[in-house]
Amino acid sequence: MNALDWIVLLGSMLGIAAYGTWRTRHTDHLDTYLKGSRTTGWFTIGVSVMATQASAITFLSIPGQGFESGIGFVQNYFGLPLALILVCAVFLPIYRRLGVYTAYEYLGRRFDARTRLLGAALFLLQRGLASGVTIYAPAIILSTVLGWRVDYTIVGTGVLVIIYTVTGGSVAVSLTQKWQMAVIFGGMITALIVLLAKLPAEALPVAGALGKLEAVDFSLNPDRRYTFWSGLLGGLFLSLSYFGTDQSQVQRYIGGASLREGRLGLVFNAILKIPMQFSILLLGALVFVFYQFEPAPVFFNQAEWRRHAEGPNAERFRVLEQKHAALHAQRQVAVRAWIDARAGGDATVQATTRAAMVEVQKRVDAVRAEAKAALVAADPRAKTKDSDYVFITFILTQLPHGVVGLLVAAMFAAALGSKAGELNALGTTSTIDLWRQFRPLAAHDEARNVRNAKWFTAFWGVFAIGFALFARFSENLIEAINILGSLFYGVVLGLFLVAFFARRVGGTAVFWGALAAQVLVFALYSTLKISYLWYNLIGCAACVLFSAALQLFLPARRPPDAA
Amino acid sequence: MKRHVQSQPDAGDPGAVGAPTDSGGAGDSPGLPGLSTWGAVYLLVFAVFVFVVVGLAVFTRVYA
Repeated sequence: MNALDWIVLLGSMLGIAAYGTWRTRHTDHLDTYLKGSRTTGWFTIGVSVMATQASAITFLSIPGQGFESGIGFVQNYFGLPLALILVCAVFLPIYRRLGVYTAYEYLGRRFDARTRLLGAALFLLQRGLASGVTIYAPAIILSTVLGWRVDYTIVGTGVLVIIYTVTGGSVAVSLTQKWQMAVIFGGMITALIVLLAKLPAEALPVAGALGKLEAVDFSLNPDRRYTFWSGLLGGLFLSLSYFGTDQSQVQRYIGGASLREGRLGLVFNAILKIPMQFSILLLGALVFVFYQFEPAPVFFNQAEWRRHAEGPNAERFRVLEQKHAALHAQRQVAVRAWIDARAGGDATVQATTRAAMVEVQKRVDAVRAEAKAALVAADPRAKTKDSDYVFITFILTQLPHGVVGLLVAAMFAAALGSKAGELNALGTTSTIDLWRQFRPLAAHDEARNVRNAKWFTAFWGVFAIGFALFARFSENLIEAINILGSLFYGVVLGLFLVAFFARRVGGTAVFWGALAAQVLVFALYSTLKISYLWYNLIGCAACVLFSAALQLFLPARRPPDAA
Repeated sequence: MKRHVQSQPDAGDPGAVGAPTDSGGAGDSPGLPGLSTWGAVYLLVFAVFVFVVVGLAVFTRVYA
């Protein structure tokens, strides 16, 4: 990064944060602080929902996913539009009609105080732990490639986001997210244009021939990682839990000028999310094609590679690098031969050259696997997942100065946007569902409520920074946090589904049903070896079934009044 | 938009909560050209989803 990159990076990030802080410095009404401005329109809501979901990892990892495994990951989002239709039709009208600040407040109205507390506690536990990862994961990647100290990166981004989120609450979050998304889209579109300019016209056929463009797979084979069916079913439950019951999302759309604005903001996401994820994945697949013609490192996390390549196993690493370079030359020839054969139109020659091209790629993949094995042999704790480093390596080595600054700013903008949404939700839930629950007399003091919401937001910000700085994260721990989310999400969704659709089930039945379902999920997790995504479905189904079964043995519930 | 004041906080909700923001009734129409009901909007979202999936399936068939 040169001076121009720094000006773009610091100018955009500090400028947006300062603008958000200054514009919202007089936010002192609780309703505005927690739900945002009453004049917020659908576009701001839609962008805010999108920015909260899209963290920096989205823009670092998903192109890497496209590079490594192709664009099939897009199927994971197939359940999202259907889930958002349900949120628009069922969840949102109820939240707005009751005028709640948090999703869990609704549980208190529909059931009782302890069920509300259970929902809020599960959210705070899961989202509070995840908040450390949201700040740590991009910081470690960006610090590694840019040569910055990771603790400075964590503290710098953390403090920046705390300042404007605490100052302006929900209004500041939505306002800054809009500009941050502008930086993100500006950066990603610029990267795509520069990449396309560097690629031959046959880029898409090359990516397709090498197996990177299989977007949809209707196979029923459970061994396949991403299929249309798993994406539709798993994605539906995941998205329903996330958009319908996770306060970091609920808070983005329950405010606004009217129900219409909230609904249109969600419809905006329902329509744009799949094309957006497809574009990011395609960008990764095109970076893969780019490296068919240009030399690529054998391992994209070059800092990790160099750390071991200069040690006692230097010779092994040097041999691997030489093998990879030689294969790259062969690969370049093979790809060009296939492109020429394609232009010639001879089907036999095409098939032969294509097979040769695929064969060389397999050998390149084998050398990359060997490189990862060498890293582990040198250091069993070595980080072997390098796909997260593919796109940032491309940015830093291939894009012109100024654009590099813009893309790094896009990564930080995504980190700040999603972090702000999280902190805002954690602060709100702590204030509304915990503090006000235990200090009912103070609940009517608006100024005190706002003050407490600010303190809680700051507390969660400092907690996230501390957790990111002092917890010993590893690649597996990041996955562990995702597992943790899946273990809780299903039960929380179950609580809400019972609330909405099982009107005869009361608070006692759902509380004990949810606890039993949570215990079942933990028990199954410790005994079964299934994908953690299934626990979303299991937790939800168990919560609904247990609650309904328990209600059979309990006195009938009074007629519903709140929902 | 119709607004009304909540009469009593429910059990389990000790303090005043945010005022109900709207009724979610028929007055809240989508206001989009050619789409007079939310059902029509949801149908459009579903149709776009089907179109996108079919488009991706065709994309897969053409390039894979």
